[in-house]
Amino acid sequence: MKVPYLVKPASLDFSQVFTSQVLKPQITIVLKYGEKKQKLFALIDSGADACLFPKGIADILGVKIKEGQRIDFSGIGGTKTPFYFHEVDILFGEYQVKSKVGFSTQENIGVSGILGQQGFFEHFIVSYHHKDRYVEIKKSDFIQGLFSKIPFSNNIFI
Amino acid sequence: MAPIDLTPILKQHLGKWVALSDDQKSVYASGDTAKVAADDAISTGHSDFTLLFVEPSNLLYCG
Repeated sequence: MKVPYLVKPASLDFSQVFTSQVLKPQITIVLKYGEKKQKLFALIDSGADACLFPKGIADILGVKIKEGQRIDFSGIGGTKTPFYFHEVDILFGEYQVKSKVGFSTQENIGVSGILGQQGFFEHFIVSYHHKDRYVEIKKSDFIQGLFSKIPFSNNIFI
Repeated sequence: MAPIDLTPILKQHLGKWVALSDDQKSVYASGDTAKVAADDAISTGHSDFTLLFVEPSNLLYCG
């Protein structure tokens, strides 16, 4: 499935160096938890170790955040941020996969949601086509079996 | 493939969560949290929408 990039406003600094708009490989997914579900845009982030979402999405789905297993993440700057993992269904196009995703107790994690290696890339083959402004995503049952056996460590990069 | 240009409708919602129509041409509601945007969209009769956080204009995402 080919999905076009999103174009969003850029900062003034970014505009002065590059362009006035930024291209985002963000796709529409549905997160399903029990009987509740919510559609949202999520960033396909190959550098993220797992799928991560802010507090508000957990609130909509009725997820009791702190009942999940805590894993700390850090990004550039090194600030440690805890996320609590729960099993949800991720629906994308014709696909539906069961994944453990992390929810923050913070409302703002910088984006609507992050689709990372565990929980997303383990299920799909993703190819970025920046020049042609789209992302191609295919299901991969082989990769799913391979990566599901790799355990989490304590401090993981977003 | 043409990208989806949300710049025109997102400019006035920087730093906010928005509930977008399925055709991505309208903002049904916006708020400081995903839940506020979703609740506002539902309260105005919109049950089918897509949530999006609009990054502030002075910050860019780096992972």
